[in-house]
This record gives sequence, C-alpha cells and structure tokens, in this order.
Amino acid sequence: MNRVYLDNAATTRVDPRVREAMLPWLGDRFGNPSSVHGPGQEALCALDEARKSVASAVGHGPWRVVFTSGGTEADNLAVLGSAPRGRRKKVVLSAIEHPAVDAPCRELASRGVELRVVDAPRGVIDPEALAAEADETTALVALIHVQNEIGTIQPVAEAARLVKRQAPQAFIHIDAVQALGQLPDLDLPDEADLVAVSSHKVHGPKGVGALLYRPHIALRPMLFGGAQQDRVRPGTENVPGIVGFGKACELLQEERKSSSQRMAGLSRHLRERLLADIEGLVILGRSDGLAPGTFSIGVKGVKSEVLLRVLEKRGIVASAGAACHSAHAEPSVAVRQAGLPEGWGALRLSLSRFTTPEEIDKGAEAVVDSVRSIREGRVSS
Amino acid sequence: MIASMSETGLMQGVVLRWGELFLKGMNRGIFTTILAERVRAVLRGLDPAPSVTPAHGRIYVDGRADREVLDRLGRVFGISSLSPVFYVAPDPDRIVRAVTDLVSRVRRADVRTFRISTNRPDKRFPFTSVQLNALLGEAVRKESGLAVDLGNPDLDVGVEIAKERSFIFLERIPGPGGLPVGTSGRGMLLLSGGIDSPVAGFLAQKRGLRLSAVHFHSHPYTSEASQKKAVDLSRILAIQQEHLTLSIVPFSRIQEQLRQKAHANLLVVLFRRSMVRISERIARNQGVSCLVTGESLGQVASQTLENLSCIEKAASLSILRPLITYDKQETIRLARMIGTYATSIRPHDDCCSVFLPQHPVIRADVSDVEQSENIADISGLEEEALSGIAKMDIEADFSDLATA
Repeated sequence: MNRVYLDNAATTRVDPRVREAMLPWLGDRFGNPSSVHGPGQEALCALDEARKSVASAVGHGPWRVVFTSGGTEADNLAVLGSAPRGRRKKVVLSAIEHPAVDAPCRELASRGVELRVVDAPRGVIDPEALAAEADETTALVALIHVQNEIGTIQPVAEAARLVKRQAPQAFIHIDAVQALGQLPDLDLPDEADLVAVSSHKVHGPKGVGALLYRPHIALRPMLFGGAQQDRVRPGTENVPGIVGFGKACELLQEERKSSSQRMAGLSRHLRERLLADIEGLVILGRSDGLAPGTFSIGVKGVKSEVLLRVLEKRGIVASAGAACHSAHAEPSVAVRQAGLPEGWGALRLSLSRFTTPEEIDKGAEAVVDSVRSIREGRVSS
Repeated sequence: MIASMSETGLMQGVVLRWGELFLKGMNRGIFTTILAERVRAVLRGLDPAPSVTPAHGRIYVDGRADREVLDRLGRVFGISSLSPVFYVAPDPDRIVRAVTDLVSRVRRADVRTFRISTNRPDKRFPFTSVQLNALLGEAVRKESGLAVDLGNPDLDVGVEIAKERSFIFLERIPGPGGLPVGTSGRGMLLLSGGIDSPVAGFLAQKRGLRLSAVHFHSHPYTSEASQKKAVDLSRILAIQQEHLTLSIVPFSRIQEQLRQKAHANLLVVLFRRSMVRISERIARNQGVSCLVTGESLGQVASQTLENLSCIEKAASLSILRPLITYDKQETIRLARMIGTYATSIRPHDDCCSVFLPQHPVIRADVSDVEQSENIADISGLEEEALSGIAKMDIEADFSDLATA
C-alpha cells in the first residue's frame, strides 16, 4: 500500500544522501577514532567534520559537542551532568517537558533536589512564570523548544534571558530535539547553556544524538571507562551514525529555510481543512505558536487508538502522542494543559520536508472520513 | 534430604504411573495408547530424545531423567506420579548390589533412616515382597549404618519387579492427575484474551478434552495486539495437545449493527449470544461436541444466573463452564501456575469492552433479546462473520512458559 506517513515527530526517514555518506564507514573505513594510525585518524577527522556540521546547524555558538546514543541520553547528560552543584539545590522545569528531561529531574528530586514544575496553559510556557521560580539556589532550568506532542514553540530566548537576570549562576538547558528539523532557525540566545538534539528526527540514522554545551561548563559524565570525547562520554564513537548525523545537519542547513516554510504552509492547510470539515474538533495549544511540522487535534466522541487504527486501514499512519502506547493510558500532561476536553481523543499529525501536498490532501480526507464513520459506528465495513 | 535424582545423573529413565485410568475398564487400552502419544508429543524435539514404551500399568521413558524431561512429563494430564529409575536385572544378588550402591551414592549427612518398599507384579521372582524387603533392608543397614524406619524414613527406596522391567527408585513426584487430553472428546474454547478463559480451557483439558479455540476481535475498535494475545495464550494451551486450531472471527460489524438497533442495556447479552451461535457453527464444522467458556457465576453482569441461561439458549451444544464456582483470586492463582497470567494481563481492550453500556441488564428476558436479534438481522450478519474467519494452526511453545 502507498502509505502516507504523518508521524515524523516519532521518527523521520533517512535521507538517501545521508545513507550514501554513511556507507563507506560501514565498509572499508572502519577505523577506531582513538587509534593513532591512518584509518583511526581518518575516522577522527570524520567525527570533527560531523561535530562542526551539528554545531553549525544548531547555530549561535560557540559550542562543545558531545555525541550520545540519542536525544534521551543527551537530555539525561544535560540534567544529571550539570546539576546540582554545591548549594544550588533547585531545578526548575516546565510541565510539558519530554520524559527524557522530566524523568531525570524527578530522579534528582528523589535524591533530595528541590523541583519546581511550571504549568504551560494552552501548551505555551509563560517566560515570566518560569523566571519567577528561579533564584540564587537554582542549578538548572530546563525548557523544551518545540513540544513533541502538540508542536507548540516555547519562548526559549526570552525565558533564558529572564531566568539569567534572576539567577545568573543557573544553567539553562534547551531540549531542541523536535525543533532542529522544523524551525528555520533555532534562535538560541547566548544565555542558553546546553542544547540536546537527535539525528533520527532530522532524516539521519537512529542511535545518535548530541549534547551541545558552552565551553565554560564542566559536565559531570554519566559513564566512565575511556578517554573518548574528553571523558565526558567515554566509549568508542558510533562513527557511521555520527557521520550520518553530520550529513543530515549539512542538508538541513541547506534546505531548512524553504522546507520549513513549505511544511508550515502544508500543515496550515491541513488544519484549516480539518477545522472546516469536522465538528467538535480543536487544535491543541496556541495556534499562533505552532511549529511548522507538528500539531495535535482533539476530537469529540472518538477514542485516539480507534481513530489511529481506522486511519491506518486507510493508509495513513500518525500517532496519539504519548497516549498511543496503551489502550488505557491517560492523556499526557502536555495534551491536557494544551486544552484537550475530558473524554475527547487526541491525534498528532507531523510532517517532514518529504511530505507532499498530495499526501496532505489524502491525509485530510482520511481523517475527516474516519472521524465521521467512527461517530456513526460503521468502521467495520 | 536426598540429592534430587535428576541431578545425580544416576538414573536411566522415568517411570510414569496413572490412577483413574484403571476405572475405565474396557477403554484402558485406548487410554494407555493416548497417554503414551501425549508423552511422546511433549518429549518431541528434545535432543537426545528419550524412548517411550507403554506396558502394563506403566509407561517407561528411557534414556533421560533430567530436569527438562521431568518438567515436561510433569505437565501431561493422566499421569498420577512419576519416578526417575535405575534399571536392574531381576536377580536378587544384583538387586542387592544396585540398591546398596545407589544408597551410598545419593546419601547425605542428614539422612539417618530408610525403608525398602518392594512391589512384585511378576510372581515368577523367587522372593515375595516381604522377603525381598528384609533381604535388602539388612544389606543396606550393614553397608550404610542407616537405621530402618518404616513409618517416616528419610530415604524411601522403591523396588519394582515387573514382567517387562525391574527397577529401583528413590522418589515419587506427583503428576498433574486428570485424564489424558483427547480421551473425553473435543471442546471449542471461547478465548477472549483475559485471565479466565485460558484457565477454563486448561481445566477442560485436564478432564481429557481436546480443545479448539475461537477468538472474536473488534478491529479497529480493538488492536492487533489483542489478537496476538489470543495467539500467545493458544500456544500455552497447545502444550497439552501439541496443536490447536484457533479461529479468529471478525466481530465489529455485528457489534455496530446491534448497537444501532438494540437497546444498549441488552448489548452484552446479545454479543455473548452471537458469539455462542458462531462458536457452535465452527464447532460443528470441526466435529467438536461442546463449548467451553470462562464464565463464573455472578462475576460480571453478563454472568448472572438469568443472563447465563439466556445466553445458553442460543446454543444447542452443551456449554461447559469449568470456572463457574471459582472466585477471581482462585482463577488468578491457577493462571499463574499454568503460565497464562502474564500474557492475560497485557493491557489491551478485548471485544467485550467495546460499546459497553453504563447499566447492563441483570436479568435479560429471552423474548426481548430475540426481538432485538430479529430487528438487527443477526443471522445474516453472523453468516458474514463466519465467511471472514481466519483459521490458524497453533503449535505448542515450551519457551513461553514461566518456570515455576
């Protein structure tokens, strides 16, 4: 079946040019970057190239770049490796963080760190409310850039500036895993100290991510054992994956101005059609602050998991955000704060630079039709 | 007290005993044959494979007596007990030597007393049981210094002198009892994916029923994963019979139509009646002569006495309900023992939870129910469901078992 893939917030297809760039590193060029001989040094140079490419795609340097196994590890390293220090015993985060940030923060709380969680009404954090929680005892403030379930863009630049005014010593961590592939520019302020990104959300391979951090920060490692990556993240580097991530970032930089604009147009068109053709439908979160490629809808009288299965029968794959893993899961905090009415079903639709206008039309038609048939109780035929 | 025989590596085979089969008189030959088949089936695939020989009142499994073999044999219904054995020639001197040798090799410091229990079906043997007990007892006492205790010995040495074989054994492991699967006929299990129905199936197998199973799914209201659950549960039930035919019936269209045309409070009873009718059709096609369900009296609204009898009226085959008097906790305990519990509690909707009304009727009236069925043209819908059945041949999978 010719499937329409509208789940790019979960993962994206590997760009064929990325795969091409990786192949030599899965073949003859198998050296260990820690080896002093030729094949080793060749791999080391490839890592350096990739590092520059990732730093440049994130922009607003200077950065140190440490490669990880993915976004989750990068977020964990940021939280656990930077906080708390000495008398700075407090961590502030938004209520709509990805679990990769939220869970290590809660782990810190179980070790005695004070945690402050700031709500995000309609899916967007109020920078002043966030800054109000920060003081001289604060070690870390964590904020997601583009929320992974509802696609709302957070005012990270303003929040970072306000926080630093209140708490100059606090580190500011930005989870830019979703943002990197969608925004035309991450628009990071000098005040941002740590940034997590992931390869497979930007048409690179799975199993690679990076944490970017300011050169003055001494990160505490989570793993021990080797001298790789300045001992911040020991272990032989995933050279083919990192090369792929580098290539993906290079392509991203070339194409994202135009692809971002195109995605924004397509998803606006999709939202407008759904709003026009389905009664009892809301766009979650503030519609003026949505990222180009991701948004979620709430639909009255429809269960998320049923809608997903009906859509898949029609060749459309999407997700219900975090609620899709279990039939009995409650909607997530992000989805509830973004305004999903009680008992309504949520559906996340997410695009990539490969998404075509034809796919959007097909997707819109399928969602409209599926919702109608579920409400009428005739999806089996 | 003694090293487990299977661990000492001394034993050469396993002897299986049965109890109830003696009651079956004329059918005994058939029962022994079926039991031996079942034993061969559970041992299939082992390398090296033990040989299986049925004889009078016993089945001999030769070549292995290790933990894996005992585990598998310990699941075969119809076996009342099993013993790892050491074979010996029916010669008094050799038996004495073998017994004293075995006792010295398995003995541990905390073993102080023993007893010899001889059974002598082969009356050609020159000593009576009592004489042989005395002879062996004296020899062991002298050799080992252990004291005789006929009441509660630390070590109970069994000797059996049969026509076919003579053997010594040191433990008697209880078997699962029941009747060999296949000796009581065939049953069609309504398998939901929940906790109860696989346990009901297991108990039906225990009394000798060979099962087929039917699962109703409500895709897209329920997920593919809920069908996978039915398949995984079938693989565990298939252990008792090697193969099991699972029929998967598309049920959502029937549910949608009933929801549109019938009173919401009757839906659960209507769904169950429809399942029973469809199951009966499949059963008759497969030559199966009864239905088996996991219903328990009063457990949920569809399982009141009135509703059960209303559901029953939809079928002409007998409906067996092994769990009818079981409490949920008793069923859960059994499910854990069988190894189905972990699969059953995986979180997925089953078809019974689709369109569940707030207040299901407690005492369904048959004429109301039949009227709704007529309005919905239920027989046409059921024909359609029958034509959409996917049939699967499920093979036993021992690796699925949680080791107790």
